Amino acid sequence: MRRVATYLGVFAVAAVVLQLFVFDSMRLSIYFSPLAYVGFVLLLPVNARPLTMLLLGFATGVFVDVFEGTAGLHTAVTLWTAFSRRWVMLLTLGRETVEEQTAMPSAKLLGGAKFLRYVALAVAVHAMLCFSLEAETWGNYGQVATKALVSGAVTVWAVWATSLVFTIKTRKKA
Amino acid sequence: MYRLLLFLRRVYVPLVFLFLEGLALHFYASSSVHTKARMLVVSDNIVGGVYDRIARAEHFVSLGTTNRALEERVRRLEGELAAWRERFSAAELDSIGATLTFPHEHVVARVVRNSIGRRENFIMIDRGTADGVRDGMAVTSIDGHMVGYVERASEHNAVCVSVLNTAFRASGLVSGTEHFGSVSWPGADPRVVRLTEVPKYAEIARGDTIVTSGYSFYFPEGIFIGTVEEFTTDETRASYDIDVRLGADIASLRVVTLVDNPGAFERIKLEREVLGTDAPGTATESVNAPSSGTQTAPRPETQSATGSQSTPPRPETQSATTR
Repeated sequence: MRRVATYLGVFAVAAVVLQLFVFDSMRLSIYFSPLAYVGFVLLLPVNARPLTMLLLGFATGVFVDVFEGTAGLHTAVTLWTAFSRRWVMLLTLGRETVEEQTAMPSAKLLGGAKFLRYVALAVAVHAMLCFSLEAETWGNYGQVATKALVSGAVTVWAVWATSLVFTIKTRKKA
Repeated sequence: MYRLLLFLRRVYVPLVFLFLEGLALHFYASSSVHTKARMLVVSDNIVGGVYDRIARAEHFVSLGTTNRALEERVRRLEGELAAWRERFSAAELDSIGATLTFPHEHVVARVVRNSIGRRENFIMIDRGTADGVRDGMAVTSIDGHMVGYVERASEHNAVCVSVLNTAFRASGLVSGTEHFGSVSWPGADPRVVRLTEVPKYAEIARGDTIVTSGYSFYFPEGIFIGTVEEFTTDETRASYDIDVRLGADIASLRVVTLVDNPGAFERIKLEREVLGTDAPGTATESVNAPSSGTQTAPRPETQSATGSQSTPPRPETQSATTR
């Protein structure tokens, strides 16, 4: 029950507060379009079941699509991120960590460098897919790559900050 | 059968993924600007209050800029009025005024939500059908520059298609000529739109004014779009591709004016009935215009709806609505 409450909190911070109310209200540049909601999927427990990952990824994507009026774009990309998360974890964290850990991925749990590698790779793929799909053409590849780089960097920061909020909270309670 | 069950048990996750992914991609590929606007209306009904508070805070911070724009507009209109007063006596002006009709209704609205970072950007405003907003109204900045059009209005809010939406189309005219073409946003620079299909024998120069042509579902003629920044000739298509620097700064919009184009609502309603859709026709509004080119486009009376010193004064706020 406590875990469910924690993840409702993660969802509220990443997908609602950061994504909808903070980043969506900022109009800094055409390249600035962070995807903070992906933090919810990336911060699900390391040992989360694949089907659970898929369904929660689907729900997150639908939520963002409805509130941003993007009609399936974020659902499609978030589903891929949820589906491929285990491979990204195996690649960046190693099989041992993936099979042993059961908690929320964080710098505290995995170490700063490993956590950053994991989040950065997942966000990079997510952002590239999202902006490529949105562009619907390979003609603007430079623009898509720049947008993925700028928005991806801010997204990584947002995911890190979200995990930090809930790691600190856990430490205080313990 | 047992083997089949074992196989399904092993591959059910990829199967579920493929099913859901297919569903999402199909919905994305088949959705139109109207679908997206409908989703935004739903979201606005749920979280619109929060955006409204954020917009109020932003609006408060930018009051100085808005006031300066309004002062500039008042100064310009006073200049126009003074010019008319020099030419006519008060009695003559009164008699002229009595004969004038005001075809365009205006509503002033505050921008609640806006974006520039996507390919399909929308603008949400805090006025709806209860305030006189109707689907298809043109949206202009406070100084009368083209911004977009109302796609879907609910009772107290409306979703507008921004000029920075790759699905947006309008008909633009090179002011002072009879050459017109189709205005769209290529999706790159949020300050630049593109005017295409202008014949290459048209005389174009940097700095030329581009206004709406009037061949439009949504826009009355003469609304200022922007100025020519660059243009290139496409030999094979025998036409110019013109980069137009927008007059309106979409990123910093706080307040907009909605202008009713007489007959637009009826045309939209008719199209809905004929096509069986529940929204205005695809955003390619230029389909309602004669094919782009130089045919008999009427020259706009004004260089800019409000920007020209030599234009007769226009009714600015016949029914400006405030909440």
